[in-house]
Amino acid sequence: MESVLVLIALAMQFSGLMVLKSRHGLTAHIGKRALGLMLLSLSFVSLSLVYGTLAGCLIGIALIGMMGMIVSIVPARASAG
Amino acid sequence: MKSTDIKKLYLVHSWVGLVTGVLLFVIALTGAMSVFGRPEIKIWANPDIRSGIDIDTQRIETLIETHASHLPARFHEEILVFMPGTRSYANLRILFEDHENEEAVYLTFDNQTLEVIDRQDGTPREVFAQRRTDIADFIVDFHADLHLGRPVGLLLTGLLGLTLMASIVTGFIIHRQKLKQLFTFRWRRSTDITLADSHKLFGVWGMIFHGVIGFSGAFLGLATVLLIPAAAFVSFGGDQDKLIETFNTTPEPVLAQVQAPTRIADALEHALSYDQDMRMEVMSIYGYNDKNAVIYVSGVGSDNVSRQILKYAGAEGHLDDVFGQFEKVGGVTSYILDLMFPLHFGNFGGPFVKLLWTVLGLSTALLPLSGLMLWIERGVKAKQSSVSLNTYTRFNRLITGACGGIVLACAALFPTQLYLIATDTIHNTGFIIGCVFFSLWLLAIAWAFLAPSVSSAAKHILYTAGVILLSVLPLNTLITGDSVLTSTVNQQWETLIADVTLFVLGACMVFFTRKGVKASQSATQANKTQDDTSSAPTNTATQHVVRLGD
Repeated sequence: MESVLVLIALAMQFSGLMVLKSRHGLTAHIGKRALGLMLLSLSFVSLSLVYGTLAGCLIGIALIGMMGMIVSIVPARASAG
Repeated sequence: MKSTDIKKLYLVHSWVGLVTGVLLFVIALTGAMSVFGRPEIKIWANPDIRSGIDIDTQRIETLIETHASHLPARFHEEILVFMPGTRSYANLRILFEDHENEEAVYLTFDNQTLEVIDRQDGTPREVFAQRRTDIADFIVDFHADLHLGRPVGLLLTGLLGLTLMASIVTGFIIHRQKLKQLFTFRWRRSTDITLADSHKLFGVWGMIFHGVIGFSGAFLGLATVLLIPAAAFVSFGGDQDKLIETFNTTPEPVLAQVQAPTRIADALEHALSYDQDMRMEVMSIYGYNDKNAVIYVSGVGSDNVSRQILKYAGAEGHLDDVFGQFEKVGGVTSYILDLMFPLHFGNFGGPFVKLLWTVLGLSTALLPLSGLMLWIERGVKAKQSSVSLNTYTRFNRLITGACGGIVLACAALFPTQLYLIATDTIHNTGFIIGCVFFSLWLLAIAWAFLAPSVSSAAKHILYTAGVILLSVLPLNTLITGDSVLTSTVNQQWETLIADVTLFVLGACMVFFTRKGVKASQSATQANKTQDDTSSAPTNTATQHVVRLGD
């Protein structure tokens, strides 16, 4: 169950960041930025619930960092090339 | 902030990075590997424990009883039991210690038959020093003190933690458009743009992680060398023993001198079932077979994040208390101190967290590397540079040799361990592992200076590392008989995942090196064509880039 929740949180973070990144590569659109941050916070909270406050927070912060790097390195559709 | 202040901070950021960058890469890379050092690589390195170990608590109690009865009572003051395959040792080990005379008897047992396979007598320091090192111990120790010994090595790694923090702070201030940099990564622009983007991206996204690693690393490095002596000087008139005694959470009990059997099996049984996520490492028994005997069992990986110590009343075998390692310090400080080790190594929350720590640890390693390469690229392209082109070239060769060499040396550790398993007659395994590791590292550095170009040296080093990694899986199958199939059937997950991961890493290394070589060749070709067709004189900067990347 814990693993499923972590996977859901991961998927949410990834999708949130991809939306945040948007078609244009940068965070130009405030609405998308807000949506992305909302998804990030949700996944953060769900992780904290899974692992108990401290461990969940630590993992949440680390996950945001890792997912952020991965999403940023993946070329956005409009900015690729 | 004023632009002049930003410039000063930029200078500080550059110089700190230039001086410590290569060492930071080495520490961070070996740190990323060390996350899986114990117990995963430890289990892979010892085929005897790959199938797991069933701890029979009753047999351990009988074992202690048998051997304690053969030793004088003074050796019952403290009995340490090291669980097999959890930390430094592959086999079950029991240490009988006489505190007053500083003597110890150290027994090593066969995990299956529980027969004594080795006995060491001497001072506790001597018997601990005589251990059979494997690659897990080697890489974790290298990450801790670079094998420079203590205190020099610890001091150096601790200072590197501080310089990492200094670089993070100065980098945070000098990069103004942080939100924009969060998502900016331009793949197909010039090398310096890609390097700058990756440096900022790794830095900004991983900032909290890098900060935590830097701070906890500085603490772990400097704690025994500087912090404890300083705290003892301030509060205990320089008496370090008194400081340790004051804050020791596992004190010796006052013995009743009344005989009562110590119920080791009951305590151990309870400890093993206390928290399923917790990995028990060490059990300490004080005052064996005395009415006031106390048993402490410590383990890591629980939901509390920090190391937990379970205290049992020896004569009854029931749980008395559960606490962290630094509980006696009190307040928030004890909480923070308890978090230092798990925060640094990610040994809470299971393999998922370890994987996360490894990936982010690799980004910590790439941070100084991208910064150093960026400095070279920008320096070479600058119209007026403070240092000569030869200096940049030599520095580039040093980075390629030292950083590529450490990757090669780390990769070579795995076949070396398999060789040691195959021979099984070499006692001083640490020496062999060290020889292979440092020889390959030095060879790589030498080759980076001797090779016709930096890119060819990098190509050769990375290809060799890739091939070595690819060879681990078949070599392991040949030498130990643990193939992918048998490991799956026997549920030897650590072995299976290690073999497959190393194979995939090797394949990726070969693939991306090949891709990089092709890209470099086409770029060089394009530059040559441009030079040939253009009648205008070529500027110095372009010449520099071609010469460096050639």
